[in-house]
Parts: sequence; C-alpha cells; structure tokens
Amino acid sequence: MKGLLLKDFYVTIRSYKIILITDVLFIAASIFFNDITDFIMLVVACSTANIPINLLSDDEKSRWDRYSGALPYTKAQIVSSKYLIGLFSQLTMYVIIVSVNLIKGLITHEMQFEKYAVLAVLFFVGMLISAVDLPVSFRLGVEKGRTYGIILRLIIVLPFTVLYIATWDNEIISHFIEKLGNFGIIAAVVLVGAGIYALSWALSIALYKKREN
Amino acid sequence: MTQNAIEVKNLSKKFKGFELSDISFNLPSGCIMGLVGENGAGKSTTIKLILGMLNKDGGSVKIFGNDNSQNLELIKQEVGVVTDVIGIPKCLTLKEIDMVMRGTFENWNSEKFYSLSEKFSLPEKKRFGTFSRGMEMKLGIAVALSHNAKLLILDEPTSGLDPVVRDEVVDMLIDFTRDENCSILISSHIISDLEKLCDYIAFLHKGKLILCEEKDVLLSRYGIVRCTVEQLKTIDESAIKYKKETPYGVEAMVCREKVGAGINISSISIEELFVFTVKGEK
Repeated sequence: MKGLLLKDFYVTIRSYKIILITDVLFIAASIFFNDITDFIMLVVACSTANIPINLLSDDEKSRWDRYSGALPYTKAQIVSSKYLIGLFSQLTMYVIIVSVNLIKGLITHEMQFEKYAVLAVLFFVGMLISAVDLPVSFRLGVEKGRTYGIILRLIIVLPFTVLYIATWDNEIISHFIEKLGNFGIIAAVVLVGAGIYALSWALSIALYKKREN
Repeated sequence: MTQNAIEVKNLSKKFKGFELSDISFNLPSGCIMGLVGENGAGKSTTIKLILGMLNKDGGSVKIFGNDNSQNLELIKQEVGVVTDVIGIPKCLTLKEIDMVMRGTFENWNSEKFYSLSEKFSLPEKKRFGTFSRGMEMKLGIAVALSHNAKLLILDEPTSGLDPVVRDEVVDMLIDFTRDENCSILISSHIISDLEKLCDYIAFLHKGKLILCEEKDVLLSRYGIVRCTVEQLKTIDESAIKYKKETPYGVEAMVCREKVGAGINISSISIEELFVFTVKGEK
C-alpha cells in the first residue's frame, strides 16, 4: 500500500504539479478578491477533484494498471490508494484555504466564520465529483468513465437543482439552515460527504474486483 | 518431497472467440519451464490466470502449494514478474522506482537493485519514459530479481531485445536457478532462448496444452527422418507424428523407439518439434 501511495504521490508531483500550482495561485488570489472567493474555491475544489481520475488515466497510459496486478497488492488496495490521494489532496487544499482566510481575518480583523461553511459545501462538491467519477472509471476505464461520469453527474445534480429552486424561498428550509448554524452546516456536509465518499469507495472496490486487466 | 512451485489443474477461461481449456501442468521447484505457442495460443492468458490478473472459469492454481484464490498478495511477495510491457510510470527515475518498490515488497533489496541497474547500464537520473525498449525490459528484470523472489514468471521477456541483450538476460535467468529453490515459468515465441534455458517445455496451441514434458526427454524421444517416400513406407505408421513432402523427398518427425534399425534419424530442435507437433495437430 505504501508503495502505491508513494507512486501516486510522485506522479502527482511530476505530472500534475500544474494543477497544484494553479490551485495555490487561485488561493493566493482569494486574498485580494474577496467577492469571488467562493467561485475561486469552487474552481480549486473541482480541479483538485480531478487528481485521482488523472492518476487513474496515467495508470492506464503507462500500463501500471496491468503491471500492478502482478505486484503484491490487492485490488482493494489499488482502489484505496486513489481515494486516499483524493481525500488527502482535497483536505490539503481546504486546510490551506482556511489557513489563508484565517491569517487574512487576523490581519484585517474581519473573521468570516460563515465562509468556512460555504467552503465546506464547495469541497463537498469536489468530493462528490470524485465519488461519482471513480467507480465508473474503475469499472469501464477512464475514457468511457469520463463520458458516463458527466451523464451521471447530470442525473445526480438535476433533482438537487430542482429541489433547490423549489425551496428557494421556503421559510422552513431557511429556518432550518439558520438553526443549524455554520458549524452545523460544516458537520452535516462533512458527514454526508464522508458517507457518499465511503459508499463510492466500497462500490469502486467491488467493481474493480470484477474487472480483468 | 520436492514441492512444486506451480501446480495448474484443469485451468480454463472463456473469452469471445477464444477458449483456454483444461490446462494442467506442474513446475517443480528449482526448474525452468518454457511455455511455447504461436501468437494467441493462450500463453499470456495462462500467466495472467496464474497471477490472478484474470478470473478463472474453472480449475485451480497453486503457487508454492497455496491456492492462488486466497492471500495472493502474500504469495506474490515471493514472485517476480516480467511482462511484455513494463508498466512503470514514465515520469519516475530509478531512485523513485526503488522507493516505490521498497514500499511494495517486504524483502526489497535496494543494494541488489542498484547493482543490477549498474550491470545493465541503466541511467540513474533519467526518467523511465526516456528508456529504450531494451532498457525497459532490463529494468523490469532488475525489479523482478531484487526482492529475493523464489519464482519468476516471465511473459515474453526477450521480445524486442537485441541478441546480445537477450543472451545476457538468458545467462541471468540461468544464474537465478542455481539456487535449487528458485524456479522460472517463461513464455516466449523465441524458441531458441527457451531451448538454452528450460528443463521443461509446454506447448500451447489454440488454447490447449498439447504437450508438456522434460526437454531432454522430448529431444531423445523424437527425431527427424529425411528420406524418400518409399523408404518412409517401411516405417511403422504409429511412429510418424508428422510428415511433409518436399521436392527432394519426405521429412518426418518420428518417435525414435518405434523406428527400426537401419533408418537414419537426425536430432530435432525444440522449434522443429513445436512446428511439427502443431502441424500434426491440424
């Protein structure tokens, strides 16, 4: 397992450092552009969410997916390395953003705790992207997985969008969110996000076990 | 009692348009077995089934006496594998590959890896993606030999290599089996390499194992008779495994013990044996 994570770490640093640099630049930009922080964070979350899929694509190109089958790894370990890298990169970005915003708040004396709740929601979106794309890619390969992933995302996002529009002015929902508070929202998002991510993880393992390299 | 490194029993796998059926063979510890077959005969499928990279439809595979459907990752700690494509990420250098493999194999020996890399003249600072085909295969072999493996499974390891490198690789593999606990299963369609290397030969043809025997037994059992059609008629038909008419007479693969005295029998090479056996099957 350690070898798999190390390999993914090296490949991320070598091949996807442009994503990491762009993310850091976006985070740095968020210091100066207060109004578009949420948008910037969404971009960071989405681009970071692509790292595990890119790694999987790289495995297919270099034929590591086949070679790793000959090494002493279980299929569960091969899948888990991608989920752990995804989790680690998302968390790293979240910690950087929160730290940057905390420092900014300390300097400007404007602590925006509600912002962290919004950021948590945005990172939840990032996790959701990985959670949707990875199982399909593990089963069908990255090329097909990406196409089916887009369709799946639409299928999943559509009912939520309809629900969101329908309850836009709903007093009960607004009251519920207000009552939940910032930390409540963060906790809810973390719990739901972790649950979906864990389900996706288990599904990927089951699907990859059936795949023959 | 000598343990078998590999025991394959009634192994089968069905694909669309191809079926590997009822393959059975044993590879005794300390021996080298060559899997010979034309392209698409089922060599790589057999190897993948042994390594659990494909799910078998039937039969069983045991490695060092353990069923490969249980705890295969533990068994693979003692197995070195070289496939025709070395799937190491192209951006990695030797040092990083060493680190990755150190985290992969419990008995990884960095010293041995670097010494083999030096022996193979592999560049330490260049990325794997810049390696030539020969260098890639050498690296694959270096990885397979650097974790005290007791069994090497090699799928076309010498294809695409020049004769000098091929010879080096063959010598290295012979060195590996000096330890009587170490065994090799190697597939190749470069039969001359296998002839130098192997103790046992298994012929695969269209997904079926048509022959599996000790190499020396095969070479002593069969021979080639080159004679006229009339002379061939004097040989018992059951002795003739395959015959081919040429403008100069007849060439036939025969079972030596069934041919009477007075007939000149030439020795047969593994390549001729394979070609004649396959043609005889048709």
